[in-house]
Amino acid sequence: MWKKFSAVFGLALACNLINMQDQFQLHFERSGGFAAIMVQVAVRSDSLDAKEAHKVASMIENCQFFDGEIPESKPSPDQFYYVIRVLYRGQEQEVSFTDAAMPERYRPLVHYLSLKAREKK
Amino acid sequence: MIYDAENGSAMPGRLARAEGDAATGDAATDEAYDGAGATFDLYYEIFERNSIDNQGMDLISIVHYLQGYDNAFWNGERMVYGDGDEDLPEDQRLFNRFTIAIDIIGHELTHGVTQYEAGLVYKDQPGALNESFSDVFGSLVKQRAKMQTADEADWLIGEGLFTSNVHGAGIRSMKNPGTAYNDPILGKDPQPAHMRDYVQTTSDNGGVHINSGIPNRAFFGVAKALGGYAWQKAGKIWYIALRDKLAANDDFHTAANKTFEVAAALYGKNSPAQLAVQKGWDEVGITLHLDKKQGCGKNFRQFLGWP
Ligand SMILES: [Zn+2]
Repeated sequence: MWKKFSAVFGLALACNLINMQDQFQLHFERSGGFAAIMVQVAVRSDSLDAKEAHKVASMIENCQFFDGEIPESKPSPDQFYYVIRVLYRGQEQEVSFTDAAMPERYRPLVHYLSLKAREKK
Repeated sequence: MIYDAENGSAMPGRLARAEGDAATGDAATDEAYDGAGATFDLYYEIFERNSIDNQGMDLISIVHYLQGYDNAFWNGERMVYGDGDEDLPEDQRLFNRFTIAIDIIGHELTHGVTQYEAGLVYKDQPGALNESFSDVFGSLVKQRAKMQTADEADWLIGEGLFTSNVHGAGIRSMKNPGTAYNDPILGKDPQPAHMRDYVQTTSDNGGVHINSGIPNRAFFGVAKALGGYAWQKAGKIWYIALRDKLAANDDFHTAANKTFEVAAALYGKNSPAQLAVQKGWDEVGITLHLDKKQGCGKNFRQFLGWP
């Protein structure tokens, strides 16, 4: 069921990418780590200027957020644990991984969101 | 051996300082080198352990990992250190580089030792024990480098890691868990010092960095009661327990029992060391029953090769 939903949702994005007429929301949480101080941030596309909103949309697409494979994360000493949730066109999808399991294609988005979350503190 | 990731994610990166090389002048590289050396020496000279795997494994550290990476971790093979939040404006920075405190280096390397020995599962109480053993031996590395007795040591983990923008002396306090920092932005150090305050949570693999305050405080209590250099007796008991007795899914109570058994094996039944172990755990709400535990010895005697 979930796979089917992901496939349909992913297809929509693959065809249309993120249509900037439609708003999207991101929620990011980073927990764990040596200091174990959690940070989080929520980003709404309508709160960003157009250029930044496009940049974020491209990062989400480059992650293959909705249909890319993510290796299983094992609990690992002091690694961060990231959870990213995207809400788009009334549907929501979430991915999570540790530092070691993070696919390389996610690095720009995680870097962007980590900075946002740390700036917010 | 120290590698420089040059603020990227490629591992291991460029070789920055090989074994025996002179100091480079780069603080993170030289701190990682010296800290790994001090940790190796503690294990080798005090506990007769030859590196992480006890087979002389190379110690590989990676510094300058990513940008704005306010963390250090053990990845199963290597130690990895970030530069803190150097990507933020100076007045917003909370963290310095993660090699700045020698106990962080001892902490990360000890995750490797635990992986090769008890293999404590990184979740819930076994995970909090895994964290605590790393804090214990990290702190012992620092205490030995400074030649401090248990009374003289500050028992802080990560002293100097916070910038001056943070109201905090360190990340954790083994002496007084829950008091390391209290900051308007970061909040208060959440560690409990007693089982009555154990934190039930799913975050951070079941609060492994929170509930480690309980066994941390137990170790501090034992070391303080025994006096002198903490690595000599308390550290030895904890090390033998980690190496020979603890198993992957052990909880706090089981760990307490096993340190109690090791204390008897090393220093004798009802010895000051064994009584100190009992008292240390008792102070954090973990009660050991002398009679029961004293009588458990058949298998342990066999394990020690006693008749
Ligand atoms: Zn740790």
